[in-house]
Amino acid sequence: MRHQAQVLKGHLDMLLLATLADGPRHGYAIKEALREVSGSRFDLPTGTIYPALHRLEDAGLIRGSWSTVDGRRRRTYELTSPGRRRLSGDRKAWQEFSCAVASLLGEEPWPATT
Amino acid sequence: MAGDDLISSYLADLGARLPSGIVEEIADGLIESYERIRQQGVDDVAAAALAVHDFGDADHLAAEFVRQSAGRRTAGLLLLSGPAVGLVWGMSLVVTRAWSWPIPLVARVGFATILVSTILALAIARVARTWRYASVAAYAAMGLIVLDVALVGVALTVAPSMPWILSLAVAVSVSRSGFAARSIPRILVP
Repeated sequence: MRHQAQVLKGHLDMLLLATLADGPRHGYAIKEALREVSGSRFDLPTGTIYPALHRLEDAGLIRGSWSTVDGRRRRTYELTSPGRRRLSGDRKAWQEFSCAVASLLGEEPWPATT
Repeated sequence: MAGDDLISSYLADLGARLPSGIVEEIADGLIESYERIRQQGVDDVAAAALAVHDFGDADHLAAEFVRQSAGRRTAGLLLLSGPAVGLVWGMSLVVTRAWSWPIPLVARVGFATILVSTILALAIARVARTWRYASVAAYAAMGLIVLDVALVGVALTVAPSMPWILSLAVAVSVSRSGFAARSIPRILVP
């Protein structure tokens, strides 16, 4: 959903890296992967994705390469070793965070304090 | 205006603001988006308009690329580290009484001119709103390399002694020059 775009921006790097975990993709395919895997919940404006991909490439987390598809030049991205390590760390941190939030928001009563 | 014209016009707008490599990449995604929308039965012009709308206003997209560009970020890092590097060198020059070194006036004036120009270029790149101005960071990086090489060269050949603070200053300059040299191709060839 579009209104989630601002919230998602804070996690954009992690989400972009995650879309490349299964193999190389080009910019538009990354956007489509985000949309499809999230059941259309994460439908970011395409213009948000490309500058972020360039920033991640500059940081050495992904690597871009050119090919020609249907007569058009296409830039495809893949994770680098530092990118895989970052993604692994981000996943772990996110799982810990989401477990903590889920516990707080659960229906179990909170423990009494003195 | 036909769908093709709408897309061409959008890409021409981007082409006036961004390097050709980035525009080619955007063009590939935009055309793929347009073709997918067409496959859903949407007419030519509406499909092009939807695809362009999804990519966002050309001014906004170009500004986002500039904001996240290597030029702006490199300029920011070099500006941020500048005072610390300057402090280390300043202390070194005082400790070694650099004012008594046999350096010609023309060389001192030349150094000061490059230093001021480099700082100015870094400031311009840091606040740039266009790709061209953000790329000025590459020339500033070259200026810093010249300054660092000059400082290190003079320190190694003219300084009467090598106290630890001067050794630290040399190490800092060598390290900064390496960072600046690695940054230049990233700024110029996105």
